[in-house]
Amino acid sequence: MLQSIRDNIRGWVAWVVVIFLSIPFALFGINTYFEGTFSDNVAEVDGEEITNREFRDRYQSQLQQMRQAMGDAYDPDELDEPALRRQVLDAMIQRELIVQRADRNRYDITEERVAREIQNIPAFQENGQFSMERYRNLLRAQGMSTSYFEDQMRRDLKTDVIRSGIAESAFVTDKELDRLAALERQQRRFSFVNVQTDDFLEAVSVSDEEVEAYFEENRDDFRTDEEVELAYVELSMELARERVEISEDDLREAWEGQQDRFLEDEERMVRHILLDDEDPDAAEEKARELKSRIEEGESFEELARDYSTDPGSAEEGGSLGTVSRGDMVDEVDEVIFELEEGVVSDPVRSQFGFHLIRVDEILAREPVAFEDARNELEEDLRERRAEEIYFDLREALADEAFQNPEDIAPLADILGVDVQSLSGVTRDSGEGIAEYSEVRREAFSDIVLNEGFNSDPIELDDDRVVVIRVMDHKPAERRELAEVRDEVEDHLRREKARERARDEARGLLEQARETGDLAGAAADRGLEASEARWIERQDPGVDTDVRDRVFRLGRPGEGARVELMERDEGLISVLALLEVRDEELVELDEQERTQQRMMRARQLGMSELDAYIRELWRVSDVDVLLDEEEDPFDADEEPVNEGAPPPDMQEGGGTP
Amino acid sequence: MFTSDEEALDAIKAWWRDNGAWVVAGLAIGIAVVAGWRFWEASQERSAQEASALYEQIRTQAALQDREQLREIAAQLRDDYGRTAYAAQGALRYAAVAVETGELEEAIEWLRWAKDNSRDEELGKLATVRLARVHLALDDPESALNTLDARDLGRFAALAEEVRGDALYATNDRDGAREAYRRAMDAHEDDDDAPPRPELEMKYYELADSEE
Repeated sequence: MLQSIRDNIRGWVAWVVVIFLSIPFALFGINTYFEGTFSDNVAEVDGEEITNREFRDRYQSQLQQMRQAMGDAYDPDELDEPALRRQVLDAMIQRELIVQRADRNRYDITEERVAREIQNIPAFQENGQFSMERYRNLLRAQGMSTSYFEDQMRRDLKTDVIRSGIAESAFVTDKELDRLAALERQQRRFSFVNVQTDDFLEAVSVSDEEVEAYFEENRDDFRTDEEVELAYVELSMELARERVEISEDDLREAWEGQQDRFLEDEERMVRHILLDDEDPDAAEEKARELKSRIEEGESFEELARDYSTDPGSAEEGGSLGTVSRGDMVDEVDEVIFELEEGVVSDPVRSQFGFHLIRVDEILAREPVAFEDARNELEEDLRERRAEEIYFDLREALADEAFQNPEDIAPLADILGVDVQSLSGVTRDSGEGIAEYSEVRREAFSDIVLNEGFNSDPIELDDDRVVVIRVMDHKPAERRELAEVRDEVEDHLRREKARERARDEARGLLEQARETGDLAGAAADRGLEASEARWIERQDPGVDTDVRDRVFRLGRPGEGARVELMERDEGLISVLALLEVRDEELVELDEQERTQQRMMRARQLGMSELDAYIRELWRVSDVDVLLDEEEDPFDADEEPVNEGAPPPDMQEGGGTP
Repeated sequence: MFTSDEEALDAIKAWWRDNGAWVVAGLAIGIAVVAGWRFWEASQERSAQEASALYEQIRTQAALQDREQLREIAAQLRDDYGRTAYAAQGALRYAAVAVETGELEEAIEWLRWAKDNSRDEELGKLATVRLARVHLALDDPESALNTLDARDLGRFAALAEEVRGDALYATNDRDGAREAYRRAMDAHEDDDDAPPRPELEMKYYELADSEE
């Protein structure tokens, strides 16, 4: 076989093969063959990969959004991570499906359209106008290039051809509208009888034997909570602040280093010539003339005396004396503090007219006295030192916790605090630091509870860190019958009463079905039926469970339709649907009709788009490679417990 | 293999005499295929862009309700750019406007065209379901049922079965309608996170024999 290929390779076969092999390269380029073959993917959509990295980014930002949206209500323990992972991945796959379909459909978006859409985004506008600078700056702040952003925009617009094309072309016919309106406005008349479990509590009895038998059979239900006693050390910013010591020398040194901050405000010796602006053009012209005359050698002081219309300063050769920032009107102030010494400004316009300004001297700034700056200095220094101490101690704590996971006393020594203890911590509750779910989770983790190691440093809020250790562990224990006898008896009594109530309700149901008269059947049993009433589908005056049930019953035939409904532990209702009233001729007025048509078309459009995407998924080749139960991000960080500190403690040690 | 360069050269010459024509033909075919493909791509691209511009007009003008004008653009898309995906999109949009203005026959014509000619197969399935609904609006449940039966509608099943229920209800087949609505509800429940369809439940329970 091989030999024959080798022989033929010099024949024409070889050439044909080579030529045909080269065609795909010519068409698609070589790189498609080598792209992304080696990364690990979470899904493949018709050959396009969704990488673990993309997925992870998307997932994290989803978590971030949830955290922001939920605020304090956010609880990582409550989160169903596998479900969320799947949800995020599904959304990514759906997006990819639509993008691919849009490409296949050759939905092309012109450059102009992309530009127009971007210009319409309010975030990029200033005073209602698109600002190129703002656009660039905002993107840069997000770490995005404009070409990347424009590509994403084009992609979104492309998929929007599909999305909006389906959603916006949805319609509802008048016939459908009429039928739904009629159904929606239907009214039903019903009545009900309540049978309460409580009414039968007195009538039933529970024997000791029953209690014992039930207890024996359900021993596992009667247990104390699993509990641990913790030893812990705590580092807090508060502790760090107490450790700060500041000497007079420290303050002096800080003072020296921060001279700039404690300089007095700058002052300047200034002159000006004011020309009032009764005739603005002439005044400005005059100002320019005076400026050039000064620059040609005439004296500022003399011209001020001759021309300035500022009565206070004209006599003084235009002198304003020493000026601090904020002394003058803004326009003048700004110029004064920008001018160099000895230079005459261009005419400056203010509410008084046109000014020519010259700065004669910039006065050196004097330092604020040490005593005056002292409090501010000390406060700053104290906070900064406290932070340093806090971070140093935190790092030392992490190092020690990693090197010496079997003893907590050295950690206390490092911090110079006592080991504290806390008892009565269960998986779900605790006091003090155990109010934090992170602490409880660590306390019952494999490493801390079973291996008996110190925990990693646990961050509480931003300014507290604790390391915990389990000192004592009380597993869940079975409780004795004597402790729980009352509990068991009560439970059994309620069960029996409920059974009796159910029997009663069934009897009532049967009788009412036979006679078609719920009220009469109820009266026979000393119960009372509610007054029959008409309700609507959205009637706010009725219990929603009851209302929904009433509208889910089939239409009554000859007599009433009677059904049983267990509402909660203690209550069973027997419902009788008596009559249904249809609005035969629903007259929707024009406005209402338009409104309903739009609303229903929008809802239907959403369903149609949803079905379309599901159908795309069905006809495409989608491989989901993500293992739903396993956390793909922690795959490499499984603890290895063989006496050595587990790897994830190392990680805690490495990141202070 | 060859004792001298002479011999090698002769062998190559001989080989060329025997096979040269094949090589030239092969190259020519290769080049022709590549050029043809490129040309075809470019022409597809061009007509997609032109169709896109027309579709854009429909998209932005659909709100204006100038039906005659919309019809002209949709027709131009259909007649001149029928092989682009935009044509069916335009037909769907125009059909929606026709339904709203009460021109149901018109809507049927366009939906039928989209159903049979949509380049996007799945969009064609959607057109099928919509077509059946317009048949119903014209009191023609027979055509509605035939339309639905003629095609495998895949994951559009929840929507399609609801329409089938409506059609059977219109023929007074209450049992058939109830079963169709039930299938629609089951299909809908299987679709995790699908948008709710309260109308469907309302129609189903109206026909329920007893509860649930």
